[in-house]
Amino acid sequence: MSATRAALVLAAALAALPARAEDVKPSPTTAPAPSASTPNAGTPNAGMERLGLKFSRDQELIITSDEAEGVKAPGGRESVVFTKHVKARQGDMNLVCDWLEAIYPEAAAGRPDKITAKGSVVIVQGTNEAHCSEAHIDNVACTAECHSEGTKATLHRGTDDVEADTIYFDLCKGTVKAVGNVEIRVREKPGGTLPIGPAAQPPAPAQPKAAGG
Amino acid sequence: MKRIPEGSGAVQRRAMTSGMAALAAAALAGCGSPLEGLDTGTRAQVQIPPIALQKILFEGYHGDLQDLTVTAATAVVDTATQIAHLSDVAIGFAGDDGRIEIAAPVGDFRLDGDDFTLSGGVSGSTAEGERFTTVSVKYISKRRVLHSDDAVKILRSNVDLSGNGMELELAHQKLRLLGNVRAKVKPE
Repeated sequence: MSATRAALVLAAALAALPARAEDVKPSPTTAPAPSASTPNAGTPNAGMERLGLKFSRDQELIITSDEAEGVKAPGGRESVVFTKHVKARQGDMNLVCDWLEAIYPEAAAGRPDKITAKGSVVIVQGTNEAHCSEAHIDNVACTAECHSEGTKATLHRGTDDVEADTIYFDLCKGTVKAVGNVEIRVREKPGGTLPIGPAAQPPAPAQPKAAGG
Repeated sequence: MKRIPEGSGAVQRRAMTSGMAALAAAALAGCGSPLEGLDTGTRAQVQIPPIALQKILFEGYHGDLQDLTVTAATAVVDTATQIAHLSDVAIGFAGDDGRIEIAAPVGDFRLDGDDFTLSGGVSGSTAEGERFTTVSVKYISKRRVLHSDDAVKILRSNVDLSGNGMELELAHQKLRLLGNVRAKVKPE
């Protein structure tokens, strides 16, 4: 996909986003409507899959850290807290953070149904890279949200950046939704020929490069 | 070479946790004169030889609650060091969240503090079916903690956990893995 097309997909996907989180706080199970959030509404899946992070449920989840502590909570639920140099990997998705809590359902089932990551959280999948101070992943709802205290969560995708108070991911559909003080930076890829993004100006009249310095 | 007096056949012993040292004390009681304690003379101290026991059962109590059971095929009680050297040891801990069992070919039981060390390949299990293995583990009675500085593997339904050491608080079944932790969750 060209840089122009990628930027347009991203820009159009985010164009309709509200500026305030409380205006449209998505339910954990609701992904943004494909027709509203992607320009290629005729082929929504193709467009959506390029936007966010996506789970590979058939892949094993591996978490490594310097220390871990498992605690049984009343009611049969269990949690394991991983601390210091925490890394989690599932398929091609990687997460790095300082502190991670995996909460298991009752009866000690193997897969955690909720994961909370804190402290310099970085989630990487392909060209997507999300940064925030706290991330909540809900394995049952197949969603993740990434937000930062006192600053913004960011999502880098190739040469494009999204910043917002909170960035929501539908990990099954691969969609992304940024909510609250959203800023989008769409940059032309090196070697690209067209200006892109919502702030892009129409092509300037023929102006020799040398004149621009 | 020390001669080890052997217990007559199977010996089964029941004692309070705090009274486990009584096993050695009782063995000693019949071996020396009651006046020895008053003897301040120059006589060489009498050295009591180790005592060998077979088919051992210790039961430990906190108040009325029996929270510890130790069985062993054999025990050699070293009265000088207050350590019972056990073989084919199995220990059961009762807790609020079910029973934890651990076993090992070799164990050293400190009679003066109710602490023990299991070694030679330790395996354990919880009431919920979790299993763990490690080379050796210490039980620190005062804190009711199992501690290992050796590599540990923990297996549960579809999660494999490993670390360079562990500490398990028996009262709350709080498990801490120490160093180089790795959790592998198999796909559903």
